[in-house]
Amino acid sequence: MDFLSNLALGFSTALSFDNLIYAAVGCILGTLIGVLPGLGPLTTISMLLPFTFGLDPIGALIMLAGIYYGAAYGGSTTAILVNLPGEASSVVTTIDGHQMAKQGRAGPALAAAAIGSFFAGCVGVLAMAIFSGPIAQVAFKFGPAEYFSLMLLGLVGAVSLTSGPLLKSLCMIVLGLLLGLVGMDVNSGVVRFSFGSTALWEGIDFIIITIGIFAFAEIVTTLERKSSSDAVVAPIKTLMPTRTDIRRMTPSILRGSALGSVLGILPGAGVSLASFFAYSLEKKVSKYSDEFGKGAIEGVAGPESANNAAAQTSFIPTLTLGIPGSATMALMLGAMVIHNIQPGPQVVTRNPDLFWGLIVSMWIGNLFLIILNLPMIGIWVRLLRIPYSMLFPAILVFCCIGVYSASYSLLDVYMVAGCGVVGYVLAKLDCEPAPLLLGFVLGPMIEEYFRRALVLSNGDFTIFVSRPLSAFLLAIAAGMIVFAALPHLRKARQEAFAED
Amino acid sequence: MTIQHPKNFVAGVLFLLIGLGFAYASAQYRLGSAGRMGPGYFPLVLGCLLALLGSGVIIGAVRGTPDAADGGAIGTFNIRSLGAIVLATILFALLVRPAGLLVSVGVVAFVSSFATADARLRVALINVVIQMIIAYGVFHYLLGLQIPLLPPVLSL
Repeated sequence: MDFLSNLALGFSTALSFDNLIYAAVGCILGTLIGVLPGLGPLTTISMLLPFTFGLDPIGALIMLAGIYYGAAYGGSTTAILVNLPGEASSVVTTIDGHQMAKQGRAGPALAAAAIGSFFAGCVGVLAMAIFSGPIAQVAFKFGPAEYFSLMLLGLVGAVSLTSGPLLKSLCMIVLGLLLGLVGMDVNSGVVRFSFGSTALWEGIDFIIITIGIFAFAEIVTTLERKSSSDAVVAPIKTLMPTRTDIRRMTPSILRGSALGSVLGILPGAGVSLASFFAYSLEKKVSKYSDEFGKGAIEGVAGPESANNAAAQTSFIPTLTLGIPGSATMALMLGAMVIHNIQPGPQVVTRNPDLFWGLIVSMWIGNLFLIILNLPMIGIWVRLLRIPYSMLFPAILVFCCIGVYSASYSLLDVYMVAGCGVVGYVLAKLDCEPAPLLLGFVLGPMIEEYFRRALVLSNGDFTIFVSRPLSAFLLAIAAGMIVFAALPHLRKARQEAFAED
Repeated sequence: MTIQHPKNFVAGVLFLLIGLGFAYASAQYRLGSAGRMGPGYFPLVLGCLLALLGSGVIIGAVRGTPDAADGGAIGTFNIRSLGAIVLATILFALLVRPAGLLVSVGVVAFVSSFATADARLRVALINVVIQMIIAYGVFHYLLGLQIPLLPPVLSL
């Protein structure tokens, strides 16, 4: 019964006029950036974050969430039509999607992506509504030791599942944690690492790190790559899939939705991994596996369903535990903190309107997206013609004004320029910035739980392993590190033998 | 001894130095004990951890074989793009208060347009006009930001 009243609360929140507008704006912006190559959801959310400060927290989060899943949705359009994945999560969609477009079947491919995404979005929202409550209930029983271990697991999980070199990613996490500690220590009132500057008393602003290290570095690295500006857009004849198409894509959509929902919850797995896994799953189980790579509709429907389901369910750990699984979720968490919402299981009980409103608004957003994407596809295709040389000055203008207007501080703008240089150097050294952001967001919290746990145990470090749940979480974290390090070990050993 | 992976070597050295720097700075604050942690305790632990991990990256870069296609070489830095973007940002900070929104946005659009190697004056000027229109329409009119549109001197 609780479930129904919660959903009712969600609907009444999400269907308010303002929140409907925010969801629509978020979806439109998300589709826009999904279509525009060279502009990712991370850059867009960090760029627009300062402008949401004036909104109420629910509206702000609804809009930011709309941008996030809208981008996951819109990225498929360019993947199919021009063989350019708008987002990392749509990379596999190009394989069969663009082949279909070349064969004059762009319409059914787009339809498969849209229908799959919509269905998966509904599954994801349902999974959120069902599992968030129980997860939050479990999290309420957590003590500081469990929380510390859980955050450690979240951080380790986020890097061990990505492809980057493990050791460097771990370094980036620790660097992020340290940067997060800059400013006043809440316990002692001591100001740390401020270099005597009063401007750093409250810590480094979250926006400065995200805009500097992500947006600025992304502009410069995108400019480095020679972009092919004259993309050939495949024509769309009809959007209607044939009966065979529908029969073939239905099981793929079901499998993709289920796989994506599960993978989305895992830290670090996220949307890209979900679409990759879904593609290889489809290839394995399909009767038409020889058609893969030559325009199999399963290869579009499966991954596109999976990435959208994952985009929804990745909100579960962020909202119920306060543990972001990806850099984008770290941004959402940062947005909550900026709006004075303490992340954690209490969000579900203390801000039920926010929690359920957000979930329902995502479902409504998915409805918006199907309207935005199918009948209005022609408008989005035209946007593909905007050259990057006219796009990036606009991104920069948004970043500058956004950073400045957040607190009208000129130092913030100078710091963002500095972070831009740092971000570019890190990108040049192949250091993934996402773990740094995760560490930065969790830094103060992880210190607090570490401290509290050790106060409880009188400085006895065994508290982290003597409590069963904490030990369990730490064991998984250790397992993930070993698992991630193993291929490296094996490869290094092989090379050592080869030298002999 | 030759460095097999220059990229990782430099990254490792950076991490090592930053870790040591944080550890040193943390040691200046009260450390306390594990049960009663002072402000320096946790950052000291993290700083040492970063230095340790950084050393690991260095060792890997010296001993390991290059696995990347580029042999782990550090590519050339795109000074032009980075410089134009950073310069545009700094100019924004310098100009936004004395010159107002339109001028500072125009300068950002103009300077940043030259971040591409094949920049043209015409494109730069088009960018300036577009960004000024967006600044007026979105930031001034729609969002109502508290940044004066024109140089404050003129409005007196």
